[in-house]
Amino acid sequence: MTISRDAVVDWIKAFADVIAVNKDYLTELDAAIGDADHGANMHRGFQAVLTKLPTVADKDIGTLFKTVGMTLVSTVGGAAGPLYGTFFIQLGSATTGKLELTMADWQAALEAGVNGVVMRGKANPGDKTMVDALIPALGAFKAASASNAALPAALRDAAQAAEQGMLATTPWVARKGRASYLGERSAGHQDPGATSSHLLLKAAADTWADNSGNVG
Amino acid sequence: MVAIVIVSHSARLAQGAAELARGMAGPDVPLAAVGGLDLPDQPLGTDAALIQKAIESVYQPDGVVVLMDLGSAILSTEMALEALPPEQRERIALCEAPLVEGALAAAVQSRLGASLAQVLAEARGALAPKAAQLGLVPPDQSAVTAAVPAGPALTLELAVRNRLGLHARPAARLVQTAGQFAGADVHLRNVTAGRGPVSAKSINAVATLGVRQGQIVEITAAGLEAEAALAALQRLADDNFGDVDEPAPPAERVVARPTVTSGEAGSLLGLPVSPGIALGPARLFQPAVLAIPTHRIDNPQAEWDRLLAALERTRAQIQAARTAVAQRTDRYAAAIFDAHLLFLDDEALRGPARAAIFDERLNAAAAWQRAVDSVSAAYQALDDDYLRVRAADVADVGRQALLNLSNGHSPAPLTQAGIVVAGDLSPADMAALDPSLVMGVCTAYGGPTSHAAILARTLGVPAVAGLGPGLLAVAEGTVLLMDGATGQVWPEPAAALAADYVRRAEAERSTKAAALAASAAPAVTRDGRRIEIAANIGSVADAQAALAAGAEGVGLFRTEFVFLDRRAAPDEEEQYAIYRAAAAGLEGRPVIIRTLDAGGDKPLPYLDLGPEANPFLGWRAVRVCLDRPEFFKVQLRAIVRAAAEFPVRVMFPMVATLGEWRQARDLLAEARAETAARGLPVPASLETGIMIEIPAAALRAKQFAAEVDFFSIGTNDLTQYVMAAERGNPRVAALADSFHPAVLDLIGRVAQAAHGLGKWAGVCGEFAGDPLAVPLLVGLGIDELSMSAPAIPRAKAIVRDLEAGRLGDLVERALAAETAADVRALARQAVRSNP
Repeated sequence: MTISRDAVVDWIKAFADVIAVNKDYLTELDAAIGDADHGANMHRGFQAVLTKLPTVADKDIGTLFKTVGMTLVSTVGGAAGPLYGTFFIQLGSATTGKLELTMADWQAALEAGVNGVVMRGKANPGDKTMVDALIPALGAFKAASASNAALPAALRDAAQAAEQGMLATTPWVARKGRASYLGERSAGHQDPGATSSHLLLKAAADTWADNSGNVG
Repeated sequence: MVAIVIVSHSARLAQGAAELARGMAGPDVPLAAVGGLDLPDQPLGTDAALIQKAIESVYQPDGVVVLMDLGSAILSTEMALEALPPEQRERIALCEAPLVEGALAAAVQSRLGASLAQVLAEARGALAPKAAQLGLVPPDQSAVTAAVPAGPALTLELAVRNRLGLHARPAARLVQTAGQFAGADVHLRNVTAGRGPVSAKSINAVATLGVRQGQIVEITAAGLEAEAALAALQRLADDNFGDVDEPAPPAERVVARPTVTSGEAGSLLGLPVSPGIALGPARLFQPAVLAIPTHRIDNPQAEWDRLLAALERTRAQIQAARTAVAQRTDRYAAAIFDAHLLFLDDEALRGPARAAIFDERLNAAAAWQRAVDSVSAAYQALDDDYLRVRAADVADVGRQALLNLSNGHSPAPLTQAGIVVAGDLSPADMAALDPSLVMGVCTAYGGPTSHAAILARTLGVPAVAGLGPGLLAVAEGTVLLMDGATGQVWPEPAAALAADYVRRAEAERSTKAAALAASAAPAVTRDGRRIEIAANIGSVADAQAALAAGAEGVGLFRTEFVFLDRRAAPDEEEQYAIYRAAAAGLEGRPVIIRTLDAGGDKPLPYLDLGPEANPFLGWRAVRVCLDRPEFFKVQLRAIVRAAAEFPVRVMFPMVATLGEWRQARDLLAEARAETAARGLPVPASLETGIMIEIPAAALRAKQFAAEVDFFSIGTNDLTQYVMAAERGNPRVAALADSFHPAVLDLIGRVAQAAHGLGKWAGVCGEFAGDPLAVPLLVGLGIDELSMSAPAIPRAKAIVRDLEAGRLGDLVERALAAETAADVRALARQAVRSNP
């Protein structure tokens, strides 16, 4: 089972749609503990990505991911810019020259992406950041893969783990980013970055598991 | 200097902080502000790619300090850093200091020439003074905190009377005096130039203020010994900073000793003339070796008269050079030329020469040479550095007079690529150098405003002048590294230093190439006003350079080159060939040919102009041409013939009255009729305009506009005439500033007068290419800017960033301003707020 180049494009587009739909929700989350721009920033970034996609439609998956990353770096504006930018650029480095991804390819790419985010943001698990969704997701995907699960199942596991991680952030006190200025007052709010990360992995599971035309 | 980059989510915040820092440290610190996203609505945020570009734009081998606000600014900056080459990365420090205070402290420290570590330390301690002021305990008692003086600051303001300003020697005395008071924190600011404040305890810092004669400096002292320090400094100032008020000896021109050793220590410092970095072998420019004939003569009186005439010609040349060279060069120019002039009258030379002619019946050249040799040898034998340099002066003057006696010379042409090393170059020398071989030009004498210097800038050749006679000790082929922007020259530079500079030169080249790539397109403001950007040229070769730089035409073709350095006037065929070649080289773009602009400062033997006490107010340019109509019509016929084939326009220089204009216009009509009568093709119409240089013409622009096709404002001369200040006289040179509101006022009126009658107005002259002048001139309604070719890409880029419809406010404030400095500050803001 592999993920085709078209399937990758579909994932990005699907996520852009998800962000468009959840723009206000993300902003609302961010308003509670940040500067109320996460939804708008991500939306601006992925709309810009949508306009860029056609220019790389015939390129390899690595180029596609790097283009997404570079676009986000220049259009998101907030911390999500360099963070998601790094995530996608790392995905791109791990998939250079590939026109389809095996399960192992995707695992390696996801690992590179998550490591990139950790390196860039210097956040640890429990700091109430997107890392709290991404790290459990990576762990779940690896576990599923080790037990020979099929790709759609592994993607599901990863998305679910991200959701658990996201929900877990609610009671925590933020230790990174703008939210850390709030100290104790940041407790009781779900982290917007972890939320968008969950949505990203959920979009992957939805796109790649349900659309058998692209995943073969 | 260490560069500073300010990163913020907000472009305006970053720019504001940068503005404050510049205000504090002056414009020279390499400083870049970056913030917001490069999107139409400029949302808040940071963009790693933009930050990377900002760092690259100011990168210095000395290091870069990056100050950021928070959140994504840090992440994006780190990301930008990773994209830079490792050798650059290690010289870039991300600094946690507070943005505004950190930027100010870092900029000031950088300006003092401090190292990266020192600048960082200063930035990190930037909150200490604020904490002290608020009566809070500073976070830590660092060295910076300790340096903050207790007690109120005392100030002393004084005018610097020293002939050469606070140049090396008086500056050193000031620093030594200030340095005696460890208990006082002494700062110095150049009030007139708006530079500083800097520590008065650093020679380099004080030197960067560039204090010139007549400028006001402010000395601030704080701390326990503040009063004592100020009193000592006041005494020093009363004592003229220890300077005896006399012409500076030429030996002083050498700031570093001219010993040819390798490395930084052996560098020579001169006057920056034309920016650019060059690394190449020295090519000694040999003045033509004169074969001096020796023979007996029959008519000693005629021979003596010939010598006197040659000496007079030499005097005119030196005076012209003095005028040109001393323009805004603060330091030595006047003294050098004054010394040369004195030798011309020196009985020690004239007496023996006269005796040789009358008593021995020797020819003038041989008699003069013998006198020169003997005086020069006498100086050479003296045990005194200062006087020994005089030997070179005598030899210089002697050779120049000899050249005049034998009617001109042809310099040895450059045959191999390299950096030209010369005592001084005349414009003709400079023009004769093969541009494909000249990597740079270094001269022992001369200054940044000489004609040769203007030429070097026009040609885009890096040049440094005034390096002192020590330069001439450099052997042929010695590797030289030169930085035309700072005036530094290193003979046999260390490999690392050279590599650094070569890297910088490459970075400069790529920036230039980018601007050049964009330069071919027209210059249209954001709101759609097209400004024609043209080039000033002085030769056929210049036309090609102008085209390559993106000129949309030639706004000023100076024709003096056709006439200078020759015994007989060029005939019509020769002139026609030159004008035609220049026009043809422009591939269909228009060229404005200015008729001959010569006077007492540009001697032409066949016109018998003769020296004048005041050549700029004398018989020159169109005044001469109208008095010599047959001579003038030769040029006019050549222009008419070129205009029959190419889009040629013609303009007359130095027109003061309507009568002069009409006479010139009628002569042009005659020239046209004569050409047609010979059966040669003539143009259907020939656009004819005048230069606006004389206030009388500017004030009567409306009357002229009814008759001429266009105006071209010659800002160099217009400024001198409006301010009644000669740029060659250092005591008044600062007055002759084109940014003065009075000059701008006239320019605006001329543009209005032109437009009122459907005519157009352009500006030619150095002012048109000054990046700060561009928004003002566009705002005043000028339609065409004509400048030296290398200035074109930048000027076009500035025009494209302007919103013409919104310049009204700038113009209004500039016209309401009191001083040229105020206008500059306004323009600077305008250029900056139009990123």
